[in-house]
Amino acid sequence: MQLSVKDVKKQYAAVQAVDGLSFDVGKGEIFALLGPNGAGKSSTIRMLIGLTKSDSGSIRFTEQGGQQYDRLPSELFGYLPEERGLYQEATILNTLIYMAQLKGMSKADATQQANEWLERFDLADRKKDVLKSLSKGNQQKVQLISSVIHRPAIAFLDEPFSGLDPVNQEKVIEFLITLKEKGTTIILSAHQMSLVEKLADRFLLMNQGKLALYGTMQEIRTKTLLGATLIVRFSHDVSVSMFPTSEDITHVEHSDEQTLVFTLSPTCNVPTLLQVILAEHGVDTIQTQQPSLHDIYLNSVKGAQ
Amino acid sequence: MDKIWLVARWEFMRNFKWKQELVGYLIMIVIYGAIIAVQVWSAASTQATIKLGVIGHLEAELSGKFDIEPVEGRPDSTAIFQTIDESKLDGVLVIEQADKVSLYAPQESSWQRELEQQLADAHRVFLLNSMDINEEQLAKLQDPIELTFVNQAEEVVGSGVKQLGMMVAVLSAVAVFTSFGLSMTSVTQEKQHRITEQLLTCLTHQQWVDGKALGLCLSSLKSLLSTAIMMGLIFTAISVFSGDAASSFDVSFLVVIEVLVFCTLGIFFWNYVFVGFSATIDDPNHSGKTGMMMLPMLPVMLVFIVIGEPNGQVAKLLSLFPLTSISFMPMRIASMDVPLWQVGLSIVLLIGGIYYVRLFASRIFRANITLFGKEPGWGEIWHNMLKNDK
Repeated sequence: MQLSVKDVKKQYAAVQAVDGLSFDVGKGEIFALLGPNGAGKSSTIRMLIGLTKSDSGSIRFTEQGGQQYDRLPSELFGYLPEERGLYQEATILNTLIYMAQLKGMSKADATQQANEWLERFDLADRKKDVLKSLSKGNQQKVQLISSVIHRPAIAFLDEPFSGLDPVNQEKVIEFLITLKEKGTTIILSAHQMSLVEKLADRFLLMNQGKLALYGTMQEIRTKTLLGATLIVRFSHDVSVSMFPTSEDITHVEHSDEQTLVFTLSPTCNVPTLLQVILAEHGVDTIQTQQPSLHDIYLNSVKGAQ
Repeated sequence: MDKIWLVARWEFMRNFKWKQELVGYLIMIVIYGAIIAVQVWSAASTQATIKLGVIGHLEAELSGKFDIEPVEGRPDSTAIFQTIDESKLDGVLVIEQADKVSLYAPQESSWQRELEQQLADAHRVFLLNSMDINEEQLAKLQDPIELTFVNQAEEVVGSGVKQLGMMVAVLSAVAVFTSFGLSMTSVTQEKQHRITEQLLTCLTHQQWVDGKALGLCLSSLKSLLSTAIMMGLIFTAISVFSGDAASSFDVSFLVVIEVLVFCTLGIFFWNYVFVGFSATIDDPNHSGKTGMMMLPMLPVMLVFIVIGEPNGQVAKLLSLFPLTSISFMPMRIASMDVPLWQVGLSIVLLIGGIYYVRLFASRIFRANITLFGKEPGWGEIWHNMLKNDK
């Protein structure tokens, strides 16, 4: 399932929640919607799944066979809402079967799928328990299963990692990778940047309803003008003054007497710079670090403020 | 339609737990059994012979149940009670004059009413005899008119017409109360547990409302059936113990069907109202709108006022109007032979009412089911009801 969003706007009272947003999502892609609270991520997802209507612009889904939809039929997509909850008094298995049947699955198929997913999330022995007897993290897992149990072509997951411990976060990552391998397109929003960076193919950073950054990790690194970091351990004592800032080097600082940390400009030709350093100084070790998604996110959000 | 049935089944099964149902019925049987057992025990343990002391001359001949024993003197009440205690008597009758008698007994008992009746009957016969009238005249005086009441309603409804009218009124109240409770819980819990958004990606608002109304209607009918069974058992028990035949609760099958049709349509009607209105409530514990949900109780309560006049102007008019026909027409059907055109017109108006109430309920539901943290004002609800916001 592919998605094309063109110049979508949505306003709630005096708040412009989404302002001229355009992006594309390819089939089988994991696409991350990022942004601070109130950036418009959940509003965007709600429009994509048809819970709310956009004020203007177009949203177009295209199936593998070429079939196009402005609004997706319910069986083709899964949705994990930001504010979530299920029937607290119902058993886990019954809840999952009910949700799957509402999405068009037969009871037998729904039962089989529910059992498989519960097994995978170590919840098989709790399937006859009522939901309220589970911990918050386990309830979160059941909710996640309920949103994709019907094998949707595209899944919209709003904050899938929230409330989970690191072990379960890893399980969810495995879960999402499995879905992707089966051909499901995934659009997710999250605040756990390190997890999203590992998982997503492309990213869209929103701020105040507008697109701030969009593309692959490499593309957004280039766009953010946030360069790599070079950590050089010299074979002798060095001084910061030996390396004045330039077009390539935006900042230099000491790590210790023999080690300097260079912040490079995004346009810096790293191999050329290294050649210059090596020609003039004795060097023990060189280490480069690309800016993380976390750095880019913070830089971008702070920059906008 | 599949999704409507899925939601309906889910709603019904949420309120229907096999184990709890069986336990409920079991408790009902135990209570019923206990009542019967106590009644049987009480009847069996009633004294066969009453030992009665008499001071003075007793003219009347009492039945063999009373074993009469003359007591000497005219002692005061302390002495009488001492005599009762010492002679192991059940009581002492003091005959002051032929028509002035005092009974001294340690406590109240059922035989005392029987004794009073026998003394009164005997004295009446004594008085009539002293007036020198023959036996035929005596019989006429004792039974001056023979009135046979041929009740047409009994021919149409069945001999259980009196019980059925009251039973239907009570059942209507049970059904409306059950619907009110279930729909309020069902909708507000879904809102509070934030299930709404995920469900709305699976269903349209209309499917959701229809499924809920249908499922809750089935739950209410189930409660109605349970109550009807219980009331049936009680009526049967009363018939048996009052000496009437158990078959006295004989009701026409057609009447039962007509009543069921009205009850079902009525429950449907009110469930749409309740489901739509419940969507406007954010927190049932703090909502000012919960009281409004009690409004449907009004027609149910009014029925009890006019239950004795099923063919009066008030009952006739309110049995046609959809908001009240749900309670009034079943009561009338169960109490008399209602003209067919009135039944037909009432059904047509009720179905029309359901059409509009479904429409309005869906609009209110759509506008408010995803509204969290605040409740709409009355003006907004009115606006939601009239505006098609699809």
